[in-house]
Amino acid sequence: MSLLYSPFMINALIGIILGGITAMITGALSTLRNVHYLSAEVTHSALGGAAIGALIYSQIEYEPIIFITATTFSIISSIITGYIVRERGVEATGLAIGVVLAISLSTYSIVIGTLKAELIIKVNSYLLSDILLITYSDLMGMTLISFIGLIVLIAFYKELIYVCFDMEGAEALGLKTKIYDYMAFALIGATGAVLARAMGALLIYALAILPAASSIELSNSTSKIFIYTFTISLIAGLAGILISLTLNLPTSGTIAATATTIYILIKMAKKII
Amino acid sequence: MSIINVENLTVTYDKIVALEDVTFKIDTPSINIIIGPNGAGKTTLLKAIMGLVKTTRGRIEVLGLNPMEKSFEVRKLMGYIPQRDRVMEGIPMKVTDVILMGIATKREWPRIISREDLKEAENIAEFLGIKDLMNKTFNQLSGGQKQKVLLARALISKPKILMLDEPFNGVDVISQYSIMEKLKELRKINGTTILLVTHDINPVIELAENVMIINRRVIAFGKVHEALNEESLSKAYGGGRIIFAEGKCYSIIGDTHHR
Ligand SMILES: Nc1ncnc2c1ncn2[C@@H]1O[C@H](COP(=O)(O)OP(=O)(O)O)[C@@H](O)[C@H]1O
Ligand SMILES: [Mg+2]
Repeated sequence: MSLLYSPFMINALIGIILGGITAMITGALSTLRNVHYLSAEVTHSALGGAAIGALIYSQIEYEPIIFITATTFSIISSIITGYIVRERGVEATGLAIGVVLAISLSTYSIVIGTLKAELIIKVNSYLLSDILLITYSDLMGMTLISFIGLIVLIAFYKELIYVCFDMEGAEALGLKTKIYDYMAFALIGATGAVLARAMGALLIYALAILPAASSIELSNSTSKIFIYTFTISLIAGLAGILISLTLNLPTSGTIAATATTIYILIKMAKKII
Repeated sequence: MSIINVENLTVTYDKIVALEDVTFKIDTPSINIIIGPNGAGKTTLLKAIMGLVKTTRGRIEVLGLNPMEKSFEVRKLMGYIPQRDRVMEGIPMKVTDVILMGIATKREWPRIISREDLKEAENIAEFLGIKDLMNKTFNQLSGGQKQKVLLARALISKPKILMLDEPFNGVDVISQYSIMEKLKELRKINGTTILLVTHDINPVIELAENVMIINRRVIAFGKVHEALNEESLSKAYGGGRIIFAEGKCYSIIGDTHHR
């Protein structure tokens, strides 16, 4: 159990908290904006971005570049989707997400074949993170973005909710909705990249999309959607890491399984009550 | 005195001409019903008056202001209730917060809500008979209740002009009547000018002072008895009959949606 007190463990715990914060922002906001699978898209864009970042890294040997490129890709992909949704309506979402996903994943597939083994591991951590191996520089970047994301969410909470609830009405009331809508998409993208690094894109459904979907059913206010999503992700993260260490199972998979179990339990509890 | 002045307005989206050469004036106070088939450009007309869509040609003035250039000033004078299918009804927003949105959006950031604002929201809710709903969430309400909440949101900033887009869709008849009573009261007591869009005039015919029949162009505009005749209805809807019975007027229109 000495692992519990190791620096790995402290990094992992910070990673889980950041994962909770970012799952909350990317998951709840994309659900509220009615673009449910956008958080899945952006985390996979982060994967494509990480692959490009690794390519750049092999030239310049600057480690943070991988996270920076991943985040940049994720934000850009979210904003492009936002543009398509705004221009063509929510009906176009499926196609928009499909196209961006296809581009990100093919970028990933092409680049990954050209990388050295150690870099492949780094890139693949965006697909399925080994939370015990988060580096210090990644943790700094993740903390910074989660913190900024949280501040922006709190500062512009009303505006973001208004835009999600009733874009036309808000615009007619005099709100500059375009700015806040793109702010929402940028937030979804930026926090999605952190979540990909913390937990891995493969866990996005378990950690962000399902919790947000169940939260919207449970909540009797918009802020509770955020609080519940955060709580579910956090509990899943903590329980998952303890279970995985005790039973010697892969951490990320255990976290995902825990989150899914919580989701199913909530569903069942709702049926009974 | 005319409060809205539209001259030769044409609005096009990409290649679709939604409105063509539309000219009319609206006096204040008044209750104006705008009817026309689906896709006639009714919503587009309201949005153009608010400066929410670009005009391709022509001129719009609201209290002497151009709504595209002075959008913020113009929107301050107006209350707008969008077609309800444009609202994300599944979001559990508190009714109080929906009503207060009418004030907060018109403030500078951080859009602080004061005690007086809350009191004002309560007063409006009281006026519309929805005070007991204030702690519920929007997604728990019936169609009629939702519509009243959106009306409250529009009224809280005391608009001079109130525009409602198909407010009776999915609203039970009793709520329709209570909403109409409130609109009459607003017109009478506050001198509010009301523009109400609908594709079916029958529920609102008693409310109407003026009727505009529109199908891309203005087909008729005037007092109910002048504007509403079989010729103009058939121009707009491709057929229709008017029946006057017991001092009431009924229009029977085919359910065709061509233009
Ligand atoms: N944002 C838009 N982009 C492209 N076409 C539009 C848009 N909004 C409306 N239209 C088209 O303009 C016409 C008028 O629409 P609208 O004003 O919504 O009619 P109504 O409210 O009378 O049903 C329709 O043919 C509609 O398809
Ligand atoms: Mg319409």
